[in-house]
Amino acid sequence: MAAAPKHALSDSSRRDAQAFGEALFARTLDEAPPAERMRWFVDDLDDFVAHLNLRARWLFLFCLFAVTWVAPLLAGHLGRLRGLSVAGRIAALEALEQSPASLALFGARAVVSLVYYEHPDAAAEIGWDRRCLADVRPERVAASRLVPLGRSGSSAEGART
Amino acid sequence: MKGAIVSGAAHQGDLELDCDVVIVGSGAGGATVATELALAGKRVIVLEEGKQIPAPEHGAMRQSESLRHVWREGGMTAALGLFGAPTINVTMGRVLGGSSVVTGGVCFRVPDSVLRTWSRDMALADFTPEGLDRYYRHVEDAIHVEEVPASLRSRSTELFVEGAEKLGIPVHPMSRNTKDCNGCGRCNFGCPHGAKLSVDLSYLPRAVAAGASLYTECLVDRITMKHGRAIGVEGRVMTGPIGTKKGRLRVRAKRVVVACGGMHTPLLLRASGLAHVGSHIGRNLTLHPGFRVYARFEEKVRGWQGALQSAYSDAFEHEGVTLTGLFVPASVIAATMPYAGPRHAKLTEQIDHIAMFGALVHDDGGGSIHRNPFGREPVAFYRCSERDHARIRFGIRKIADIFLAAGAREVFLPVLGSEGLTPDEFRHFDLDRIPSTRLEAASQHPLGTCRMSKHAADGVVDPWGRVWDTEGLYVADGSILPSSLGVNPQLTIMMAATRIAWRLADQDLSRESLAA
Ligand SMILES: Cc1cc2nc3c(=O)[nH]c(=O)nc-3n(C[C@H](O)[C@H](O)[C@H](O)COP(=O)(O)OP(=O)(O)OC[C@H]3O[C@@H](n4cnc5c(N)ncnc54)[C@H](O)[C@@H]3O)c2cc1C
Ligand code: SF4
Repeated sequence: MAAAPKHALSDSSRRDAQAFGEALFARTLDEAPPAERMRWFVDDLDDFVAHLNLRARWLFLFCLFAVTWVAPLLAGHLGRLRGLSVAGRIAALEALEQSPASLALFGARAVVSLVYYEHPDAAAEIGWDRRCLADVRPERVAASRLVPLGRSGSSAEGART
Repeated sequence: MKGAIVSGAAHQGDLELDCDVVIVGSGAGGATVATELALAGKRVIVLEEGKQIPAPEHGAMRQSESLRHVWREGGMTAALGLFGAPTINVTMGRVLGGSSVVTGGVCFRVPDSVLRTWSRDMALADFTPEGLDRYYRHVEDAIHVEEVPASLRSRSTELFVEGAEKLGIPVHPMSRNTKDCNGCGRCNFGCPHGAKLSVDLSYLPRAVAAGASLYTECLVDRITMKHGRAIGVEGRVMTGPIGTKKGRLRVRAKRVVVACGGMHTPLLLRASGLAHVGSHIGRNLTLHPGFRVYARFEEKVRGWQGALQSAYSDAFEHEGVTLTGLFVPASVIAATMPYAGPRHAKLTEQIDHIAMFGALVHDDGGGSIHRNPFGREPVAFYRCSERDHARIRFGIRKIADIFLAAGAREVFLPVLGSEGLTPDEFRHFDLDRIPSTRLEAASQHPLGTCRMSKHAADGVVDPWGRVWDTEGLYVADGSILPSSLGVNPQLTIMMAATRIAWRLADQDLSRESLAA
């Protein structure tokens, strides 16, 4: 596949995305998912965004902006989401979910979840065996899957009535 | 003479080409026309904005990687809901083979009731089941439409069928364009086994064998017009993952066929100064808005094992709703689960207990497509009729009823941020009080934006796909369908494209010369 520019997200956006992911995917109120997994997540998210056209990139960044700045406000804090503890961030995200701006949370959550749950350990935690990725046998992809195309039921290739 | 597939990204410099027929877009409509015309001996060139992805490469990609490389805008395109309509996520393929590459493979003919409105109310006299039968049969043979055997049903679908049987609601096996499908459930991210006969496998190789040349990573910006006649197209040779311009593209042709799909064909016609065609370009957008309902069962369901779409119910066709099987990756289910942190995690741990089914609304539509002043992708707006608002709720309720009859412990409705409802909570839940703007909706079927009409004043193309009051210019994709269908459209788009292609094939182009 064609390589994309490595960093589509600024350092600051990477940290915002990480803070969001740590809260969204935390399994306890005070502990974020393992650091190695979060590093993989942020790198792969960056690659995902790098492959988007400009409009989709801006859309994602807009949703991330809402999560970063609006969610804390709704929970009574001025400042970025990453300035809060994991528990504080969780409360802020749940406040955003119940607000009229929930569509922005939905947009951001859709993208980060798609990437995060593809980490094998995250997939295992939700019982997703990702079987469909394991079972690819290229030799089964026949060179030609074609049936003859004739007009009006004729089987002669290109025959026309 | 055999044609070729040429990668624009690998090509150096500008591209200047001549042919009989240039086709813009290689999806369900474009590939069909290209193949039929190449087989009829025409010199055909196909220009496609996306790249070629051979079948085995699909298997090497995770789902989110497929979104990066195969889907348009990473799957993030949306039609903005107006006047209380939901905002709808509209997905499309951007790849050689177009959206056909990412379908679930579902194939339906247009229901007779819809054809009756086309032939009676819209005066499209040939559009009867008998009149269209030979085109449908031709396509069904070419893409190998077969019934999904019960053995490939996922447990998710089996549970739905059990519930429907208890309520006396008939459910039928789905037909799909597959051969030797193993039920791995990856269809929407490209079939890595070559079992789904999307047009990149079923049609385009035949077009190439008959002499057609396919150029990928070539974006057409406008149709070249001279004295009211289309004489070719102009655009850009692209490179890189986000399509940077690499060279100029110019093709001279005796006929131009536009098949960019329901969202992009109107953009191209508008960009080409076809104002005389009237006000319908980009109007009348219908989307078949789709709504999923999840149901949590006590047993492990693992709904991703089995064919994604294997059964449907048309029992509510008269209500404007078709119930269709579906399954989305576990990562997408997780994304739609409410809350954050431990409460969210607890719900995601139940994902292998989740079954799901979808409701597809036969919408009146009324959306529109507009040029985006800041970039290539269009701005789309969507409106819902009162009838559509009611149909949406009807479909959601029916699926929930059916799953509860099958013994579901909880149902998750497609309401942003909503939690699971127990059977009792669901009975007391007033869905009518939830504004449609809070509903999670998706569409894979943008249709009708250059609709076919008997009279020039009512549409954009005539019943044979020719753009009204314009010589040499045709449209053959989902944009020409006169209304929404209420069922998945790929087969009908290919049927309509076949009909247009056969008529075009009968034109003797050998005596015409290319315009300077
Ligand atoms: C996820 C998904 C699942 C689906 N599942 C089903 C299903 O199970 N059954 C069913 O019947 N239908 C299904 N559909 C819908 C079906 O795929 C489409 O209705 C059908 O492919 C539309 O055909 P088309 O020719 O109108 O457009 P497309 O197939 O979308 O083809 C248009 C092509 O034109 C190219 N293009 C656009 N603009 C330009 C330009 N300016 N220059 C060059 N190239 C351009 C695009 O990149 C694209 O490849 C699904 C669609 C999606 C996205
Ligand atoms: S379920 Fe069948 S058609 Fe779909 S990806 Fe797997 S093998 Fe291909």
